[in-house]
Amino acid sequence: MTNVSCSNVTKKYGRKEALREVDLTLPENGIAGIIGPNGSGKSTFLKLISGLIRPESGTVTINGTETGRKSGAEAAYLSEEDSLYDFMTVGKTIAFSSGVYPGFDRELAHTLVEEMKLDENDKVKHLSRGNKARLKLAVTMARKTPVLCLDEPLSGMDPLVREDILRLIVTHLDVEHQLCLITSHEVKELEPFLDHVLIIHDGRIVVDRNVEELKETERKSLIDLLREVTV
Amino acid sequence: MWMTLWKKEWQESLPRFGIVMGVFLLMYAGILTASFNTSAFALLLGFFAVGLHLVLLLLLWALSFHGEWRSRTQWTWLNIPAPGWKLVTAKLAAGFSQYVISIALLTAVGFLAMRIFASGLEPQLRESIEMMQSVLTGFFPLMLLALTYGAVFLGLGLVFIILMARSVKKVGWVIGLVSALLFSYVYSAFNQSSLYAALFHHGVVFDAEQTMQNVTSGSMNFQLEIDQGASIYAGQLAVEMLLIAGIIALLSWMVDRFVQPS
Repeated sequence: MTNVSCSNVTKKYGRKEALREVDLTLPENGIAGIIGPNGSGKSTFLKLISGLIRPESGTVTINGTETGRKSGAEAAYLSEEDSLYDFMTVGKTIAFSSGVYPGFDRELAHTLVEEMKLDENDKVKHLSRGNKARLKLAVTMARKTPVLCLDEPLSGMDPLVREDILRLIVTHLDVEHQLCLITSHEVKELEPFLDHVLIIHDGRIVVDRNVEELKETERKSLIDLLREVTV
Repeated sequence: MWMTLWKKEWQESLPRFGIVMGVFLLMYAGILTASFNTSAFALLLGFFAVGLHLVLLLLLWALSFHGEWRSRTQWTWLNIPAPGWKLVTAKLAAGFSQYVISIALLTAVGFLAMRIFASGLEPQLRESIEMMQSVLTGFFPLMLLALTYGAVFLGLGLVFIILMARSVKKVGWVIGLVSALLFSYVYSAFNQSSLYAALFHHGVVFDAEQTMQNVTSGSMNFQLEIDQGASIYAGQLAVEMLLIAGIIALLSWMVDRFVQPS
């Protein structure tokens, strides 16, 4: 079980506050969707959890340890951008990841790549955008970290790739031991897979609920709720 | 983990190192051709090649660090749960390995060119060139060390500026540049002070005066004066190595504490 908490976290970019006084403890496992309008602070939230950026004030902790640059062993971050090394082949990307991420499940990475019909001899730079997204996700999943921070994994992908990505997450996430945080605008598509939802608006967490509970009490879809709280 | 990082840096930088080596090979072809023709152009090209090596590490290291942001792989690089010193030294070591290969080639071409040049000259002139060759051979460790020292400090300075630019938005590079210039000014003043000499000029490793006497003994028409500071001392080497280690520690600390991916 993983304990991720934010205590009075504020993050600014210049004078603009990207996140304001965020105080919360995330669920210990399962899939949590981070949704909100553009520029609401979703990506900033994930980057803070994975220790890639530091807050102006407050602390983010994973199992009691403050996150920082070396938090990659606890929180794997999947960027929205093409962050794979172009000069490597698919196979070399797996070999590299296995060499730098402790606990990397090389066998799982090979299985995922095979499942997604990627040729291990293909160079990353020659892969389509969809296949790069598939490879990125396969590598991130194989890191087997307690927390996965997936920043817009569905963004700009065609329906087939989106389906593949969601299937991969649902099939291979260890829901008993891992917490997967996903930011996305594809709320409708994501909703059936979510255990928990956070809605961020103007740098503040305006909804932090269990999805089942939410459905029972509010009887609204996440899209409707998002509309309601971000007006 | 370090070897995996080093291998990645090596493979990633191979295409640009190939281009650099291509340029050098063209230059070396020019040097050798000019030497066959006993043209002074060989000397000019030789100086130019040495000068380029002074900025070679700067180029290789800067492209490597800046390249993570340019290719948007900084998210991957900074999410590797390795201490900053491993990330930094893997990049520095890959660049330095390429510098060593390039210097080895430059040395081989330099000495070969001198031999070819001397063989095409009149016997009287040949003696002077051979003497110069002996001086260069004798002083090779000093020249190599001076060139590498300059290249390493220029390179580390630029890496510091790049990391500073990634740590402090907008004005980071200005702060980095000013701090690097200020440090080099203060340190070079200290380097030339009597205090520095008293503290670190101990244990002669390379005696310039003695070397000059050895290589010019018996030659009536070849006299050169040697500046005292041209000798190398063990104490001096130790302190400069410590300084380099200190700068690398600073860069690693910056990566761990201040550098931000966006």
